[in-house]
Amino acid sequence: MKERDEKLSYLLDDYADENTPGDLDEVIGDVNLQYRMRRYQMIGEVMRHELPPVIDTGFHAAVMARVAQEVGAAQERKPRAAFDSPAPTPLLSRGIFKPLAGLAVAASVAIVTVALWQPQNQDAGRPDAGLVAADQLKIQQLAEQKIAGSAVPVSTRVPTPGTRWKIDKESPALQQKLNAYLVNHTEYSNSVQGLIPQARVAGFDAQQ
Amino acid sequence: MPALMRNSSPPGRANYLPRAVIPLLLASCVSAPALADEAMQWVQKMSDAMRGLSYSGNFVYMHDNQLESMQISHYRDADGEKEHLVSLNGEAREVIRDNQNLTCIWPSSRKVVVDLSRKNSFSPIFIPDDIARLEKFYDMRLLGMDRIANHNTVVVHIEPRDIYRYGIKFWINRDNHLMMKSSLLDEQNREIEQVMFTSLRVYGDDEKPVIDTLPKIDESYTLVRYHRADSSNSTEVDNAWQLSHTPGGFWRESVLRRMIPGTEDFVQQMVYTDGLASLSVFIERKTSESLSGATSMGAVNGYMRIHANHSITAIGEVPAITVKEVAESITYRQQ
Repeated sequence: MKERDEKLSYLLDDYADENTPGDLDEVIGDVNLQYRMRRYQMIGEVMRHELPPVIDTGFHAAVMARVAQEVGAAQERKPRAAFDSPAPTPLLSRGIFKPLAGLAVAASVAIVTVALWQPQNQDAGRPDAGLVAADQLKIQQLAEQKIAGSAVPVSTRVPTPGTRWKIDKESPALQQKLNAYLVNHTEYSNSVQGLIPQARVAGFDAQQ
Repeated sequence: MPALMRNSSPPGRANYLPRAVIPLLLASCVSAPALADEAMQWVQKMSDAMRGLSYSGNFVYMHDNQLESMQISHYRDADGEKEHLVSLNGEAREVIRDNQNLTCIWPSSRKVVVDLSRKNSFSPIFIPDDIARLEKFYDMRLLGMDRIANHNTVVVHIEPRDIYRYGIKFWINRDNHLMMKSSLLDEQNREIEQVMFTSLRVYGDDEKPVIDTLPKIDESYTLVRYHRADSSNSTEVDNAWQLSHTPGGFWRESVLRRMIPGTEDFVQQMVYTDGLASLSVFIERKTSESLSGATSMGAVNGYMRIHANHSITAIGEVPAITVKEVAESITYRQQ
């Protein structure tokens, strides 16, 4: 399973090699694999901020039609290519998965993410009704999900700039003092500025 | 061009007036004072709504080329007002305010800062008790209408007449009078800070938003109190600190003195206002950390100065020249 996931990830990351046609056959013959491929692509779209406003859950049909089209074209080209050019053609990278070229999804991240979507039934060759239903349910849940007060995610990758005083001489103690002054100023003055004073206080640099 | 139609906002902004609204506004805004009255009434309604209504929503806060999203919940009941502000980006910084305390929570540094909440200090109180004096400093007018977060709004522009204060625009909800957007404008009429709701829910009389802290505060948090139980005995202000002159027509609104946390020293805060904008002057004994010079954070400017062995810091959402002149004009005059 892990090997197949990695193969899929490489396939979508434009690292396809001469084994690609074989991998494609496997994808075409395995509906569950098609769903997983769609999930990989969705992950890539999310990471590139390219997710469409409406998620088309019937996307796999269109994908497979394009895959079949590409495979047909590739098979027609293959005998000629064997003579004319020894270099393998990265089939997927030129077709429907071209937008995925350059997507630097770390395999581990992708696999961890996909693990959350693992189908219960891994039988190849026929649609997994449970998986389809789970996908639909999950997408619906995601679409309807509201920010819950008890589950606010905190980014640990990107430091938030927050709010800082511009001072020639860097001094955490002075930053703290100025922040305390601003809190007191906000509390004890009546500036008519809507929510801006409160937002300033909540936007203080986390490291101060 | 009639005063009503004057508009200094950039093209493409809220600078149009639907035909249906023009007669309505013209009928009530036939002269400049009436126009200012109308604009002021909208700001007054906004001030009342921000304090009196129960609401929750998400808004974005733009400053220093940064964009942050925040969530606010606010309600008022028999016990008074309660407000909860959460930063939705990065660390979930929180500010919780009720009638007694102002609590700031920084989860990553596991710090909770508790200060006394000034009674009625939630959304600013707008008391246009001296319109003539205010009109010396500002030109107030209605710009037109706009749509913010799917709500119809009336746009009010408060424009300064000199360099000592910022301008501000309010987008006020036509139905419930809540502020949907505000924009602080510098001397060149550039937007330096903005707040805009992206979603808003207003609650009825018999319901209110649930306000609770996100992180579970436990013993690992450091509690910092900015006041002491006996601080009431130590708040006698030192009236020898005064302004030699009042730049920009600002006058002293209030003065208080409080203990500096972790020390036996005091800091005196003097609040100056022009009726809309305000700044505070903080005076405390000079320390090794005390500096002189200007500082800023978004639209807030500060100016630090050493005088009579004390550190004087003027801070406010006013231009740099204002805090500098105020700080420079502070003197110590013994009675």
